[in-house]
Amino acid sequence: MDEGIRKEMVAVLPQLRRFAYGLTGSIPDGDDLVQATCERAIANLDKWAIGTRLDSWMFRIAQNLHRNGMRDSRSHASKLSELSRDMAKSTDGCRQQEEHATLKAVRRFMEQLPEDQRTVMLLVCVEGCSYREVAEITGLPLGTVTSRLGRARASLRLYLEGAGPAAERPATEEDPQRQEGVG
Amino acid sequence: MNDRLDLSRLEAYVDGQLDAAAMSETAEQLLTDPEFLGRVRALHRDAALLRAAYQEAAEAPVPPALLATIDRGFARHRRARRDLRGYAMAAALALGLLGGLTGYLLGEYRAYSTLEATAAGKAGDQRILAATIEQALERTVSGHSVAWRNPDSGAHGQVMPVRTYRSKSNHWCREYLASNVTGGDEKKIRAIACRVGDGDWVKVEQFYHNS
Repeated sequence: MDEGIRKEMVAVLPQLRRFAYGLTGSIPDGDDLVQATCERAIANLDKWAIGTRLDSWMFRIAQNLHRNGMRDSRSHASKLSELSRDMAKSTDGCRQQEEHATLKAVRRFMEQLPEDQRTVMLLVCVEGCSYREVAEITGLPLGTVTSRLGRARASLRLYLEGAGPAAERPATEEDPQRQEGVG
Repeated sequence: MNDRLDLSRLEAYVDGQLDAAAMSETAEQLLTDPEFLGRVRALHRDAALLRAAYQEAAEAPVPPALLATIDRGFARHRRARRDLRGYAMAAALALGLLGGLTGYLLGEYRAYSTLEATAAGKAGDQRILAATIEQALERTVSGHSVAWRNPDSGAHGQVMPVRTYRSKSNHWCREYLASNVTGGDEKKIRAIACRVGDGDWVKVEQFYHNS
């Protein structure tokens, strides 16, 4: 039986790594979180209710571990200045570079989102979880899940609209304060 | 403001979280209201950006240290529960497991990298699939299928319109099945698309089929 669970756990790794990357903002930090999550999950296998989804359970563990300890120590201000720098960068270069810069800017945007909004946004938009699953993973009421999701989406939309199309806007128009105020 | 309410319904629609009745009601609205349609498309685009932003971590090879952690964890778990006979046996077992795990993981990784695909490969698959769907909806009689294949990734599948009808909003709509076979894994969807003013087919509903 362990063998089956182990296989399932390994199969969950790609999604779990993606989720952890989103939570922590870097792949190495994400992998540290995934490692801690796997250790915790294996040690607590007896608490996992067979028949429920292993991926949801592991997302929940990852989310809790992250919230309880592995916080990003960089200041809010430094994140915001990087954010505007990335947006400025996206104003030059060829299309592929621009796409690359857009994705990077999206990650910066996610980093400065409040933790709870980021988690909900990642689970729904990236991992494709249902609202109910997100409520179970985060321990939040359903209504809180959808309102956080709505706020996160609205600020991303504003951010992207304010940022693009990159070539047509001077970088000086980017104002991190304004972006921060949404949400 | 009721705009706010509408927006959360649109989000639930995009996330596939509405019940069937609300789903088709929203789909109707989508067809008649260009602003709604624009918003739905923006929501889809933003979600695609988010997925692309983090996809790299799902595709990068899993670090060996991580696999070793899992292996060690399970070995310890097993010992705790079953009281294995001697260290030699545990070591042999762990070694065997490691070999099996690597093999399994390689297969798993291959499946993921084609299913979730490298960002480029998947984009290619999606582009070809979308073009095939467009073509099938435009020209293929219900019950007949059109095949597609991406020579770069090897992904392939079929698209078959199954039903054509006029919506309440008087748009032509077609229900269709589409499949996407990658690395031995088959994804099937059933969806409905409707033709809007400029001959553009807009997907209004989608259901996953697990084969």
